[in-house]
Amino acid sequence: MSVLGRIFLVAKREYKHHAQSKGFWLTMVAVPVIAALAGLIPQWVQENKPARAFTVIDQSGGAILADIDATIAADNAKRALAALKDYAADNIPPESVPMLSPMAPARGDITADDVAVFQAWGGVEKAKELLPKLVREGAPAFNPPGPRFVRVEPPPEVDPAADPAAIGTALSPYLRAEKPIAQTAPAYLSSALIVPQDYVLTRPTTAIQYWTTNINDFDLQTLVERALTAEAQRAMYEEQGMSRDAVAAIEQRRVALQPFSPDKQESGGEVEMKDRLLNIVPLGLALLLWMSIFTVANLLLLGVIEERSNKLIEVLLSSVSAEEFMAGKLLGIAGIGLTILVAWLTVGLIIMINGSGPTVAFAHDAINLILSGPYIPAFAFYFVVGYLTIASVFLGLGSVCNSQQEAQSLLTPLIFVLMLPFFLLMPMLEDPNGPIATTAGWIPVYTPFVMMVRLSTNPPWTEVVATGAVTLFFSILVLWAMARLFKSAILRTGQPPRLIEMWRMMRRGS
Amino acid sequence: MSTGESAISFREVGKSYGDFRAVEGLSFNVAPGSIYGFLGPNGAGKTTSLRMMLGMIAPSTGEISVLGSPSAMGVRERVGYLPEERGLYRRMTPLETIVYLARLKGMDAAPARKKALELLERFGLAAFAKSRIEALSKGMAQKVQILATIVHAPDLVILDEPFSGLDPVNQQVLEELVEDLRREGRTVLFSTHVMQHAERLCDRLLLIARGKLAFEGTLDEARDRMPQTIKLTTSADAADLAALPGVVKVAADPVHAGSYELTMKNGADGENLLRSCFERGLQLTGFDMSEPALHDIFVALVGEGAEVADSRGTAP
Ligand SMILES: Nc1ncnc2c1ncn2[C@@H]1O[C@H](COP(=O)(O)OP(=O)(O)OP(=O)(O)O)[C@@H](O)[C@H]1O
Ligand SMILES: [Mg+2]
Repeated sequence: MSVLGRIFLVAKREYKHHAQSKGFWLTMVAVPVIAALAGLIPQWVQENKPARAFTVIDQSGGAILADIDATIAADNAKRALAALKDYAADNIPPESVPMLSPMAPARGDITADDVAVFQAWGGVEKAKELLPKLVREGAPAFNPPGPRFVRVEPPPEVDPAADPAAIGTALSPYLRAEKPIAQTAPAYLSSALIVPQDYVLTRPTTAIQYWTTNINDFDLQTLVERALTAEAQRAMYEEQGMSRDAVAAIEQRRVALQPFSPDKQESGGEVEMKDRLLNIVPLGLALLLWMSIFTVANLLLLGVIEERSNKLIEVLLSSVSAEEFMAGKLLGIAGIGLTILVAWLTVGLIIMINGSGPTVAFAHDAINLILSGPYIPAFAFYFVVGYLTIASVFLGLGSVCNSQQEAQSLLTPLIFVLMLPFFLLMPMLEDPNGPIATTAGWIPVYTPFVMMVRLSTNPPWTEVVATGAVTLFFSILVLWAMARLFKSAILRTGQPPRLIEMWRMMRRGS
Repeated sequence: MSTGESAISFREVGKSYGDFRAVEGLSFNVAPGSIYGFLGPNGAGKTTSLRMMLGMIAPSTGEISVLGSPSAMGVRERVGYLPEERGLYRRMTPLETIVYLARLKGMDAAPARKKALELLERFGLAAFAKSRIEALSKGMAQKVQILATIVHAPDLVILDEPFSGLDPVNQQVLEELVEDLRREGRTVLFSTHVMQHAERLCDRLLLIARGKLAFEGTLDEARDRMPQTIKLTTSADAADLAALPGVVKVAADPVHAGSYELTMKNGADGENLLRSCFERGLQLTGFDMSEPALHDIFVALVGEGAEVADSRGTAP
């Protein structure tokens, strides 16, 4: 049997062994699912918060109460409009969506103006009337989201003219959910606003009191504060002699900076939303690279410790050389790593493509970018060098340790060093040509992750080649040193060697 | 004996760990087709020697030849090795394990599988062929490992403490297996503490103590090194016994009055002693002249070897 034959046999056993473990399947499926859930759950929670009841006692005359009611109505309409646009994107063939209708896809955030137009157009009622004629066959019915906030009348025993502190006291059993405020949901009072008698929006002497037990829920507070601030500003402009229309026109005015990028010279340099989003793709790839390498490097460590501690290694070493054994293990586990990577990408894309609206478009753009750019060969190269370096270090460490505990103490400082690119990724995304990124690109262990991100900014090719060569050389050096360590340490018994002894083993061999 | 004829040959082989000499100046040859015993007390250097034989660790000094190759790694497909400490992948089955190790030794998948099933059947493990190793008893797992050692029909089988951990029945099975291997013309070298196995099986023995060769030769040669002892039960007294021809030493049994152990001069004949007793009218009620057991030889030689090591070890 040839050297390659033996390496292949070891690799095959290694691959089979791990591919049959539960952990492998868990890692393959659970990681993307958890990642997707982590992204979706907060949104889902936000969208599905139950309606919260609040009450307003306006001692100042009723104008502020009217403002608040208008604000809540606009909030409901805005949510309905957003839901309508999502629903339309999923269920109406694009050519059937009238361009200027509220059902057209959003261009940026939904503004107060969009909401006003939607309400003037006829709102949810009009949408419900039109939709059945437009949707695809078999589309589900449009279900606009319920309100976030429902204003209820204060309980009858509360005297609306009383001192605000006394009102607060009278409301406290309701706010503490000891007494229901209504027969139907939302049955309990979540907050109460008390506008004092002498309160003037433009020149407040006291504050509007916001009573609640949920002091970490800022949703209503923020909504009302924003609306009343805008209202106060409008009133003050009017006091200066401006007409309401003039103020509205001023409020409409927005100054925007149009981003341009020299990388997009051919298309006039304008940066689109798409371009910005797609800068994130290499970052995602770098993260993926990092996670997959670490997941499997750890398998190597645990595997070698097992073979060492149950003395299997000696049987194996009578059949294969230490180098062949190491090569086989590296190869087999690389196979596991690639399988996990492909699974993550596949599951991730399936989730994105089955998502709604913008994620689908993003997934398509991401795939196109990956296929068109240098990313696939770069990813392959960086996977190989990154994996060789990190995996062979883990393998070398495994060869000197008798137990996971022993490995842990050696591994902790190492992990810390290897974690660094993970923390550098965000600053690098903001400034991929800055000093952090350009310097880190030359540090062999970090090169694969850093250069993966830098690739999206078209760094000079000399730099790409030179950093690649340095890191390749370094990974071969590490592999060579670890093979020597492995060879002289794997049959040792007793305490793991001290660092200085390991250094000697690497230099002298066995 | 020239190196070419030997299955294994050691020439002045030594191994040092730092300043510590685990093996020193070891020379011996193992003839092809023989069973060779590697004996010695704990820490004597048996495992170290075996690992050097297998090319797993490099000797510090001297030359080794295995099946004509300077390193066992060069002929590994013709060598089978059972290490002292046993271990298998716990999640693999005996069948998978044996096939995997056979394939590493160069067998093709189909014949490896066929042979593995055959061996498992023959050694009573057929029912467990497809259960995980972790579900097997320690002794069963050890049998699996022994089968994995011989599955590829190696010319040379090296076993480190193969009998430890097996029950008497399985020890017997293993002894038979070793004899079968010799019958097939294979060379077997094994290390052991248990003298009975070596006594029954080995053509030649090597005794190592503190890294140095204490004895090398056949069992008979080992016996010749030992003075013959004879146990007597008699009404005569110690002085009469000491006067008999060929008797070097008389030791009285402290418990049973009238029982003595006589140590004979090398080459002295037991029958002569018996005749002398009759001639002198000594009344014997018991006479026991058995050959010295390897155990006694071991204790005697290792004691000797230990003294040698002591006297030399202090003066570098
Ligand atoms: N890697 C090592 N580093 C340092 N000393 C070692 C090493 N391996 C073995 N030794 C020492 O070499 C000596 C011989 O060990 P070896 O394992 O060969 O003995 P052995 O004859 O097999 O003993 P046992 O019957 O207990 O198995 C022992 O004193 C041991 O401590
Ligand atoms: Mg030993």
